[in-house]
Amino acid sequence: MAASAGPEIERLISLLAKLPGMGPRSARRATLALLKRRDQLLTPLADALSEAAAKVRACSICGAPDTRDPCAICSDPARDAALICVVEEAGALWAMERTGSYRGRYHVLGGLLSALDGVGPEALGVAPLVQRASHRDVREVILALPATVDGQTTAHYLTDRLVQSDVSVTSLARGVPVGGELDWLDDGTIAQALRARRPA
Amino acid sequence: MEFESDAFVLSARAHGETGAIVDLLTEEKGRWVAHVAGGASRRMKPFLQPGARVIARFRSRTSEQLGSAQLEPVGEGPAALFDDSLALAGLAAAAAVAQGALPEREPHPGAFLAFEALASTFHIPEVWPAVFVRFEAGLLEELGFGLDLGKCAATGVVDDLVYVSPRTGRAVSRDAGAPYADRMLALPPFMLGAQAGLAEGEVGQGLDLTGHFLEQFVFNPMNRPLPPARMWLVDKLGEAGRL
Repeated sequence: MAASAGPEIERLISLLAKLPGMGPRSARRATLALLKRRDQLLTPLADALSEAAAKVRACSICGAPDTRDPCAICSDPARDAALICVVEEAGALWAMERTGSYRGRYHVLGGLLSALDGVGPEALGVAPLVQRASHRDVREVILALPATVDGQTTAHYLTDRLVQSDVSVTSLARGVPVGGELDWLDDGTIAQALRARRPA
Repeated sequence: MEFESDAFVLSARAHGETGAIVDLLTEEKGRWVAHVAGGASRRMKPFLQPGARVIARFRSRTSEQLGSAQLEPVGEGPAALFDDSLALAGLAAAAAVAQGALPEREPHPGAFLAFEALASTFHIPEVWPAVFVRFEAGLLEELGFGLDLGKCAATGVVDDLVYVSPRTGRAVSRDAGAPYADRMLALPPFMLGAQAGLAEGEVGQGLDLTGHFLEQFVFNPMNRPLPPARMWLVDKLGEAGRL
């Protein structure tokens, strides 16, 4: 804690220290930077935070956080309504959007089934997904879930649930990442890539 | 304190932003929990999955400390089962049962060997459910609650053993158990020897048997239910018509 700072500043430091990538030391540095640049940083940041707190909601269609409901993606007519990409969290949605190579819509599950942690289907947004997938415009559901035991368990569960929806269910490929050198990859990734090989 | 051991990852949870607390089933020291620095990294995450085989090097200043571990993956791990939902459920259930049943820092080499044997059969769909039952029976034995299936508890005969007493875990012959048949647990023949084939319904009987004693002797005394992962497995096997 800052030894001679007031309680407001100490509170700011302790709250900033809870953010990912921040610790008490970096929170102190960030606080100092904010205080030094009050008009350029502190006030706009405070405004942005309170605005976000007041306006950001989960989209009632896909579950992604946005200030609008339906969210910008769900209400964009240029998006392909025939494609739904299922992701675990909003972070995965943003990662997909960064690529710029997907023009369909999303569905954010809000977690994964976890047999070890006892997270069951009722805790996730599965029912709304099945409902969306049953719509006659939807042609394909892409499962973009983590290549982990929980991620793939969830993918299998969703595939079973979507059988009756008359949509094509696909999942992202697994294998060698762009820039990946084989001698640095784990055995599982190499074996998966080998199984998923295709004609050159 | 330092040691190195073959191990299976039973579970891993994030600790801070970069580390993980990993629960391992080691060959020599039983269940061992340790902090793994960099456990949240892209390099480490692929093998911090339930059922992944690793070589673990443990280190702590004193034996009372949590300590840290360095892990080195061995083989493909659970990624090989990603396309098989039943096998994935089996792997998760085995990890959850081992984690829930085995006490920490108590050597159980039999449990490690049983897990190893089970992990090596997940790619044979018609075999592993029966091996899973034997794995659970092995866990019970390691914990001192082994089923006594060698002879009839009432008459001492060694043939025609078809029941197990739900109270003692001892086998009972068809004749001796007949008056109490409605209260007895069925003893599937495959649990009596490796030679016995696997008939329909036997995996379900085996899971009922080991589940009953795991619940009675291991989980109930800890005021815990059987792990949800095991219940999911039983449901999934039932849905797939594999019980």
